[in-house]
Amino acid sequence: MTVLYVIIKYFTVIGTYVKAFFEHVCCRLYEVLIEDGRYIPANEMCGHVDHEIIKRRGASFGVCFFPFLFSLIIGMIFLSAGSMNVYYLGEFFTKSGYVNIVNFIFLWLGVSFLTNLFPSVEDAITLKGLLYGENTNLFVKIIASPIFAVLYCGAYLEKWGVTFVTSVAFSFVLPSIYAHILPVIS
Amino acid sequence: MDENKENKVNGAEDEQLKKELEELARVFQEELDKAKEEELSAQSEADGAEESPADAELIQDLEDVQAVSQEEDDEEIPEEELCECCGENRKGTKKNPDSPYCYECEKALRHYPFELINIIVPLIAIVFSLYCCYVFSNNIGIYTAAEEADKYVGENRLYTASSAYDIAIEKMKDEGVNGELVYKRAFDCAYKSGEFLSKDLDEDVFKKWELKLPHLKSVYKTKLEALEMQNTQSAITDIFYKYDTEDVKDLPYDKIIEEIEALIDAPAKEMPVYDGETGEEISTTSPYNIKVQNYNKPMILYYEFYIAVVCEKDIETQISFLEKIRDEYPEMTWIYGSVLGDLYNKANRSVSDLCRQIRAVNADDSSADVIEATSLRIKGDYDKSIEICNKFIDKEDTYAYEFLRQKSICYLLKGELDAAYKAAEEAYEQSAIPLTANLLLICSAATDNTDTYNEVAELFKQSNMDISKEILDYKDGKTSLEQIFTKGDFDVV
Repeated sequence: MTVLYVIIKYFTVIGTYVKAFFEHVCCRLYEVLIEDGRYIPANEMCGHVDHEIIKRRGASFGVCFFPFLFSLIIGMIFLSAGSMNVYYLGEFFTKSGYVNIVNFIFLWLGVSFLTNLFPSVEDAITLKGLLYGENTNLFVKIIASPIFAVLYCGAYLEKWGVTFVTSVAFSFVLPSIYAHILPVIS
Repeated sequence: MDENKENKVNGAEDEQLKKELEELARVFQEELDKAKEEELSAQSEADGAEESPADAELIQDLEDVQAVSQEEDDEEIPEEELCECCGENRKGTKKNPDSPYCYECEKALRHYPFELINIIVPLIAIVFSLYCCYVFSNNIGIYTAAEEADKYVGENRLYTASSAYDIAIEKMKDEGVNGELVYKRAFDCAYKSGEFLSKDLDEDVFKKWELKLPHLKSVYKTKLEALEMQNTQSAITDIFYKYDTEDVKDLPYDKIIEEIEALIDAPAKEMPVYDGETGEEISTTSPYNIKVQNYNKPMILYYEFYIAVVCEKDIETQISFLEKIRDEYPEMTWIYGSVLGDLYNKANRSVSDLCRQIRAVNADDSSADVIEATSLRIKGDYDKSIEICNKFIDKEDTYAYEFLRQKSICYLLKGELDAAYKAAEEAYEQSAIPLTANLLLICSAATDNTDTYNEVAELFKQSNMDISKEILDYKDGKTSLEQIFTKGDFDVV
């Protein structure tokens, strides 16, 4: 499983790298102790920075959520242009007849970022313990539940390499979503 | 005086006493220092006499051992207690005694430094994402135009969709975007609506090898079918010209039909293509090297119907050819829909199924409404027929002239002659074809508008066309409007 995980991480290396960078930034902001600052080691920590077990609820949430959010935003930008230009318009070639490599790069980057959205399973479990422990009030538990559910499930999906499949599938579906959104925007 | 003398004596005595006391203090201090020195030297002599040199050395060693042991406790930390990061200091901090790191290392690890590459890669990605935003926002106009066209296709409004695709393609050209899939969808739409034969679609959008790929298969099919139809038309024209006669009655109908039907199984003859500039024959059949192998069956059936019309065969024979197309190619309503509806009306048959079928394929195809309005008029429901016609006349529909014509006939049959004339005049203005001209002649005759009648009759004469016998009979009072429009063909031919 780790081999598949590492292969997918290396195939989507830009998303992997940038996600680890965001995690690193968040760890620094929350003063979380980083034990291994390598972004793409060939093991199950590929795409994550190896840090101490976080004991503060806010820090744990921040380290899980903000890298997810930033990668999601950048991934959506890339995937929107890539998916619409390739799958919807079919701009495979430029007017001069060359392969339109930029559109394919957009698409690959979009898939790459969306494959690497979620925290490591250990971080997700830590977050679960902190969010749904005895000392958390009910309001926080309810408010955080949708985001937590996404992060928690996503962490397991990413561990098994399923997020690559889901992001590729999403890239196909995205033009249909825009078919509903764009007329409203315009 | 005595007092002064006594004071002087007392002052001298004080002075003397002070000096004596100072002298005494100095002597005392000297004696004290001397005594201290003597005591110290005596003490040292006494200490040296009490201990032997060996004893002194032994005592000194034991003390040293104790001192060294204490120093070792301070400086040499067991390996398991060393900081896991630096390996020099004792692990643990005040805040976290269980920490595997020393204070300095823990502080540093909580602010783990970035390498240059750590920053450069995300920075490039972020800058590239900004460029991506620019590209996306630049193309939004194209996306929305294409989405709109797709929406119309989803609603089966094929003519509206076709116009929307034209707008999207125009925008793509402006932005230098070569959106093959938009062209492909425009091709598909044109194929469904039957516009692919007449519409000028770009020939150099796709690469030759691309048309063989699954996602462009429908484009290949459309282009192939267009070429097949052109080849079929050409082949049938050749057959028809073989039997060129002055009178249609001399045409060998059965023989022509037999020859045309033989095309169904015959291999297609390559149609020569000529270069637009040099006029030289080009060996390929199309810019995409599409080889036509068969003739097009719907087109063959349509021409059989056409020959039946030319040879003035009965209405059921004509209908039979079109119904064959309807049964085998129901989606090709553009080829059989309006003519079959017209024949059904002339044969006084129900048109509702056909109209439903035409609308299901292309909701924009108003020929279904023309058929329906004509059917209602034939049934005598003039008001409802006029109601349908008005909707399309207001929308300035492609068939508006035909709706105006039907409206005019309804008014004629209702006896509202002026309204009939006005509608007929409008129809003629929109489309000056024999059909509208005939009706205008009848309306002019009905309203005694001799100027218009003569004007139109003159045009017939200039075009070497004869005015219909029905019109002349009506003008001469030999027939009535009811006889023309409620019997026979239910129309003026």
